[in-house]
Amino acid sequence: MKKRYILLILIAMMIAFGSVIAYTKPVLPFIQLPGEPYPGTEGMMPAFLFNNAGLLNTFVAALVAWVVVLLLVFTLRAGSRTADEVPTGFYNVFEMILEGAYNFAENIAGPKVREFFPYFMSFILIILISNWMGLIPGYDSIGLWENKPHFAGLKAESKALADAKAAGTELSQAELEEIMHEAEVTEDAANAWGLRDGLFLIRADNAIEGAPIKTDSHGAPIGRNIEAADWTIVPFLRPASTDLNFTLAFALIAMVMVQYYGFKHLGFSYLNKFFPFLEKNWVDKVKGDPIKAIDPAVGLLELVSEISKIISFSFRLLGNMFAGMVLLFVMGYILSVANLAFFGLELFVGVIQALVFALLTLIFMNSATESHGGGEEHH
Amino acid sequence: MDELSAAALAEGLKAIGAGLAMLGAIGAGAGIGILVGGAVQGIARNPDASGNIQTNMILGIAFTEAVAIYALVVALIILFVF
Repeated sequence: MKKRYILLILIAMMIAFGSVIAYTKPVLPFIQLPGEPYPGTEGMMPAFLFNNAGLLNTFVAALVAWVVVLLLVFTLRAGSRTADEVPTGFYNVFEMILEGAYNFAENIAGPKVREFFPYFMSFILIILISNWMGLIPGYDSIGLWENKPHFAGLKAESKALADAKAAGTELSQAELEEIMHEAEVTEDAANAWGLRDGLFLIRADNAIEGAPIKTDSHGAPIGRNIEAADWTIVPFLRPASTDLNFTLAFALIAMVMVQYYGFKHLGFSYLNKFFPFLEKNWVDKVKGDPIKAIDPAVGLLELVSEISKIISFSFRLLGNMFAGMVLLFVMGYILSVANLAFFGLELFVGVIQALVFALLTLIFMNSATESHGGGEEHH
Repeated sequence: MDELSAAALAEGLKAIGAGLAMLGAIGAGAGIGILVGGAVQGIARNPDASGNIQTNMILGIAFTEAVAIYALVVALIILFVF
């Protein structure tokens, strides 16, 4: 009986959301590929970690995703301690998922599954959670207002500072302010002409109402005379997988662990895959079968493909998730009702991408631990 | 040419460049079509092997789709980074 009320509440919420969407025109937000820093945090974070970019919303989202995964882990641990012979509820459902994933991985990796499964499952969980969190309404649309010309000015300032540092000269405060002002005016002029309206910024007719007045340290309003199109939202959170830093980090973890397991299972003969001439009896082998002389070139290709796997891992996830985010934004702007269908698609894409990432890691790990030349010696 | 119309031209050229970059999706589309066609034929001939075939098909699709995703990333970088 209880469950029926939840369903009713969900339907009511959907109708409420739908009617809000039907009577308000959604805005197309400013879309930016790198993670967006919270306004005012530029230079506040340690430079070696954040490259002077400030606190990025994708970074915060990654932390949130980790917290969710840790909560899940501890909930399930507590569940596994108290579980009876017949588990119930959430724990039961998760056990079913875990078992399915384990059997799936066992089909591919065989007996080595016990070693590889932790990577497989943690990749699935963390990527799936960070992908799906982006589908929560408001996740990447509620945020801080930011003044774009001001932003451009800050960018020009940091660039000028970096240039001056590289050239070994110093800039006076007046020169810096001149550079910032120039960048702000240029950006302002470009926006005033509406060049970036619609496609790149929040549309002026949507943004002009409700834009808060920003004040400086003395309480005087600033930015009021600038076109409203210059105001944009920096969302508090943006799906972590739409930032290359996140996907590249996972790709690096995956490929480094692939090499680790290769060495662990095959010892230094793992290197024979890349440098076949390291094998003791390689010269005899080539004499017996001259076509084997081409193996060093093939090994070089293998080496390149290990690196290209990192690129392919990171860009596959980034491309899919960022394109999904842009798709939802653009479809919400053109025909908001259509987003119902695209949300379903994005749910599907989120699972598939998490699964593909984990599955490829598993397959690479498995193939790295299988010796290549071993079988041929018996011929 | 004054500064503003130059900026406008740059925006337009960016859009054209992004569109051209997405030509890379042609190959991936054909590839996925061939891949799924082959998988469906395989399943039709031997329905018992459908689980195995499906896994390999999804894997192959992921590899093929990666090419289209590279094109997409190039297009997105043209649009949103430069």
